Amino acid sequence: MAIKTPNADLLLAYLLTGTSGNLYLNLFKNDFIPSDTSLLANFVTADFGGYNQKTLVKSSWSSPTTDATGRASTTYSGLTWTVSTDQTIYGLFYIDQASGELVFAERFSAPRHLLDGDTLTIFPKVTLRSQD
Amino acid sequence: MPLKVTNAGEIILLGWLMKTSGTNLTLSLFKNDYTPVDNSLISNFTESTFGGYSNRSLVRATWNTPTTDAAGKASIAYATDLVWTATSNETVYGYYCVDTSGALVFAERFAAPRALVDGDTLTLKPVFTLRSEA
Repeated sequence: MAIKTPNADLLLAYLLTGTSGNLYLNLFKNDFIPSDTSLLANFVTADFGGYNQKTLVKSSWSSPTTDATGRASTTYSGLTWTVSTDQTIYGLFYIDQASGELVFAERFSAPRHLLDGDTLTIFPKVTLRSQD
Repeated sequence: MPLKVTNAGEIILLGWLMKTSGTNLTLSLFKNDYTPVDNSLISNFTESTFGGYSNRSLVRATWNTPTTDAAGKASIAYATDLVWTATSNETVYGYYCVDTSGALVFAERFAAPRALVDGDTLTLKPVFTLRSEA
C-alpha cells in the first residue's frame, strides 16, 4: 500500500519553514489500514521479543534520485529485528522525534507472521512527486 | 493549472524534507507562453522585463504555519502578498521559483495570462500544497 501522510502540514513545515529532525520508526501489530486522517492512537506498537523502536537519523537518508516516471525517492539502510516470540505485524509508522507527532504510516502488502527465530528487515523509502 | 514541482525540484524538496533544511527561494514571473511540466528546465522560462518588475525572495521564516483541509491536503501560504506595479505593458503567463543554487524547484502557469498595462498592479499570493499519494 502507498505510504500515508496524516500530518502533511508537518511535512510542509519541514519543506518551507523549519527544519526536519530525526524520526522514530515503529511496527504496529493491530489490523489497521492507515489513512490521511489516522492518529497515533490508531496504532498498537509491536511488542514481540526482540522488538525495539528504531531511530532514523536525518543525515543517514540517501541523496534523493528521480526515476524515469519523474518520481523522486530517498531510502534508508535496512533495519532488522530478530524475533524471539511470535507475533503478526501489519505495517510501520513514523513519529517525529521532536514533537511526537505521527508523520507517515504504511501497511505491508500482506501481514508478516513472525515466528521465534525469524528476522524482519525493513528498508524505509519515501517518495515525492508533483501533483498531476 | 496545478503548480508543477519539476523532477529536479522534487529532489531538492525531498532532500529538504528528509535530509537537510531548505533555503530561501527566488520567485520570478515569466513572459513566454509556456506550460510548466515535470521535466521543465530553467531555460524554458523567459523572465519578465516590464517596467517595475523585479524578482522576489521568498524567505523561509515568512511562510505561514501550514494547515490541513478536510480532504487531507496541507497548504502553506506566504504571509506577504507579492505586488508589482507595471510601468510598461507586458503579458505575464506565470511564475517559477529557484533555490539559492539557481535550480528550478517549481513553477505555475496562471489560469489565464495577465496582460499588464502601464499602471496596473499584479498581486501574487504564493501557496504550496502537499498531500499523501492516493
